[in-house]
Amino acid sequence: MAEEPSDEALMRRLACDETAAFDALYVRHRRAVFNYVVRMVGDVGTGEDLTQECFLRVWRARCHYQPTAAFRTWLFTIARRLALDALKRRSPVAVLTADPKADPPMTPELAERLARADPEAIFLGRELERQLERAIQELPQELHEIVVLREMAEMSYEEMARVVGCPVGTVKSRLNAARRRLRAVALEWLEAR
Amino acid sequence: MKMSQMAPSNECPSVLAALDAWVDGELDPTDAAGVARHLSACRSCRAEAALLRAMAHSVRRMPQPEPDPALRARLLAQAREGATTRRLGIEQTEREGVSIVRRYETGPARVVSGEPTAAREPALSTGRSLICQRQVGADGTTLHQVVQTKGWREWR
Repeated sequence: MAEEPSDEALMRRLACDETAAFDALYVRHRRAVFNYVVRMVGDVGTGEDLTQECFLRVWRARCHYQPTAAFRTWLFTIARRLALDALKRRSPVAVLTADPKADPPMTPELAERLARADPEAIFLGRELERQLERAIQELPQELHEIVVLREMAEMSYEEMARVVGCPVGTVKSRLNAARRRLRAVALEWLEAR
Repeated sequence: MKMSQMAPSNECPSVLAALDAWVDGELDPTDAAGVARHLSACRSCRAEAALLRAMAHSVRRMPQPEPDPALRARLLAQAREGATTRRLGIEQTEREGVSIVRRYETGPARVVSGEPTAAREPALSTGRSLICQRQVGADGTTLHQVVQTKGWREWR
């Protein structure tokens, strides 16, 4: 089976106006970009507009692209800039900015259950997933985007640092802060069962 | 941090601090092995690791919708339109089964670095800017491509 061309190889073909290469890049990355911007801005309509604009910018930049960074990192940097601009244009919305809850302790009984369980078998209920989804939406933007980039776009710490434009250490601390908040939600739900 | 060098009773705080990176596969192999060793012996850290992994699993299972399929067609149409308007000068020649495509834009070429060479001279003298030169084999694969960005850049 023929090996799929890399993103960077497709970008080189784009420089010669190959729309097929552009289509291949879109098909490969559309879902990750769309989910990232939808979760950043909170609505599907704006998310589609931003996804369209993001890929159009890739097309327009085809002659100037230099593969100094991985294509995906560059693509998400564009998507992020567009999403942040869209958020700025909106009237301010209430964002949860309170200090994270202190880490609640885990009861010995729950610790016993979790220590024995297969992690993939712990959360079978959609109810907790919905609660986690809501908790992610309520995270401050800088924590929220790190969770989305990590868990949904499956980026490494290094990639996230490049996209967000901060040191890897900041990515780690933001991810940890976000997970502590989600942990509190999950623990509350699990303890009640 | 060298997990393997820590006594079990002192390890928990360091292991808990490293759990995010362990779950995300971001620890180096030595530290990852140290965390795994500790987890096999420590029930409370094992429970925290299980919770962290379960949360990550739950978040990844959340629906990830697709954009409207019509968006793909819209983008392609816009790209094709853009490609047409930018093709101010495109030349295609063939030599020994290899197709050579040169794309020009109006305006003189700028050579930012390096000396002009025989390959650059024609573009410099004609008042056109050679944006891209690509050699395509008979099977459609790119054999060689040069793209001008800031100066000239050899891609392959």
